[in-house]
Amino acid sequence: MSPFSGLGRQWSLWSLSTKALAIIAVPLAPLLLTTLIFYVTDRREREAQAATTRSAEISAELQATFMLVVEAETGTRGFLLTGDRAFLEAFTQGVALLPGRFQRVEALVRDPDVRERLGIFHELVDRRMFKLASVQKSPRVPANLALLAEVQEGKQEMDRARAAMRELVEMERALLERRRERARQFQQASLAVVLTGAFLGILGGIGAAVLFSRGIVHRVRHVHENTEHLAASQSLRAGPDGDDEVAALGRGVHHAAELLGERDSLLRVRMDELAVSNNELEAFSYSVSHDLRAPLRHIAGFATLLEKRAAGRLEEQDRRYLRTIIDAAARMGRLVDDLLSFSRMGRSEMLRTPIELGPILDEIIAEEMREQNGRTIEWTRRPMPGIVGDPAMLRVAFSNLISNAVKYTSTREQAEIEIGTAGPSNGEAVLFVRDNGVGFDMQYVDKLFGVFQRLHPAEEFEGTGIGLASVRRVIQRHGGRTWADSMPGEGATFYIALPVETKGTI
Amino acid sequence: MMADLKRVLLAEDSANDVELTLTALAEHRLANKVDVVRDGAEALDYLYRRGNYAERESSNPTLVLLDLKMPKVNGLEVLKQIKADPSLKTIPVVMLTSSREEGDLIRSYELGVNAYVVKPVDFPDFMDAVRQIGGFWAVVNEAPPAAVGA
Repeated sequence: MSPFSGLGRQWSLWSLSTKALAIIAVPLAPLLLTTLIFYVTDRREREAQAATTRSAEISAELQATFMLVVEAETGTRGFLLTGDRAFLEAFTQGVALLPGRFQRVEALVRDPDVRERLGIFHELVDRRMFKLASVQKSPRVPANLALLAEVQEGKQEMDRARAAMRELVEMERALLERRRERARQFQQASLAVVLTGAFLGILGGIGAAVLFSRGIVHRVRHVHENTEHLAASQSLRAGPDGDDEVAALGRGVHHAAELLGERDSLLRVRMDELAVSNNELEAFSYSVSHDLRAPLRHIAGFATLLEKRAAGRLEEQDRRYLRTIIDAAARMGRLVDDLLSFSRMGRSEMLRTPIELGPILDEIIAEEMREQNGRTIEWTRRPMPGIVGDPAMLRVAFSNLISNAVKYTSTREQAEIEIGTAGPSNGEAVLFVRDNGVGFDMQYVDKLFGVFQRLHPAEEFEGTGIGLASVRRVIQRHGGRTWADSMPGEGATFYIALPVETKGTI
Repeated sequence: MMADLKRVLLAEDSANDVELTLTALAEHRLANKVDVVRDGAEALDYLYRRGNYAERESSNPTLVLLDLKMPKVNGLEVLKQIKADPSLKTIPVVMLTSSREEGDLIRSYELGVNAYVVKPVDFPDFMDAVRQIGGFWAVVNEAPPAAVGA
């Protein structure tokens, strides 16, 4: 076990690339071995082939060589019998060809034993040829005697030569057989090795796959699991262990979880703070709503009663003072109302529902017309795109814009107020309220949307200066923008851009 | 012919508001008799004819004008008790208050208030509102028959 556990520890220290190399090496090694063996076997096979060819050649040459001698002998005998020199052709040929033949055989023979035997055979052949040559030269003694002697001796010599040749052939054959046997054995051995190698290769492949699966895939899945746990705000499983990139990745995920946890608690603290703040604001607004209004009512109420009771006893100036007190109280009342409304636009929870602006605008216009008896106002209302938001808040925003338009066109004989769209552009619906009223100087356009900011004196146009601030706040909470454009004396256009989530016109 | 709210209970803690309201009611000669209580506890004592009001006559007021913010027991609590009690719940209750807070509105209507009127700063408007309230409950509205409650 100990070498394995040592290896296991080593394994965990390696980087991913080292591991990958090791895993690839496992099935690859037997593969390489097999290839090597195939190569070697092939070489051996070729060698065996060559040896076989050579052996066959040697045998053929030896036999051919012996045939030359046989023919030389036959020719010589013929000559001896007939005295015809034509019979000596075979002998002459033999003399000419034999050296060459022997040279070739000698070149082919590899085995030392065979070489020795070949030497003996060569000698025998040479002696025979020499004998034949000398027999040819002998005087024409009674042919029968010479021939007889020749035939007797010749047969023995030829037999010896033949035997030598046969021995050689046999030796070569035996050698060849041995070589073939060896080759076959080698082939079987290498087949066995190849099969073992293939088997080991498969095992190695499986081993590599298991290694890969457990060492890498398994651990990567572990990390992936942890990222999903993280996304679902669940607790993470410890690990994976190790020193390689996967382990580092895993540690990164744990670290991210920690950071997120910290940010989470920070957020929660902030949210609690915000909730407290909101509650305080809520209480404050409630107080303002009740407690500020009461004294105002008392001021206005008693001043009015005084006005009624003492009107006859007061001078012009006194009555004016009283009026001022009453008007101031009334104005403060309106300011308080507007401030509360503005505060509510920032505090209250926002709805997000699809809204049809058309009916809302029509209602606002109808209300304005009810309160403006006698004035001529030409309304132009264009189709509005579908938007998503808080209906109550948007109603306040448009109400403010429209009542502003009505107010600031009060000096015109014929007021013209248009409510339209400037067309959706990259995810925004741009709406506008345009009037032909007194307009304003663009120099002060930035102040326009500020709280309690006015560009006209109260005597000209009454108002608290909070309408546009409320509009901006509402639109900002919807993720949109507000801006305005005007020329003094030539009316004004107030634009609203709202992010569009649904398309369609109403 | 001026119609008549036989008896009105006004629950209001601010002396100034009491005076203004009484003036407005008198101006339109709407109420024969207005009983004033200065907090919620007194209002309940009055309605249940106990404590300081144990000796008052036995019939219920024809209308209750209720302020929201009062010491000891506030308007919502008084409203709740009135509407929960079979002997009192038929009395029309009008919330007469400075608050226009949505929470107060919701809570009042949930408890069954008959009307909710926000007191305007402008006094003539206030007088007009009182006249309309009085006119409605005295003339237009059919009061519950005398046999009910009390």
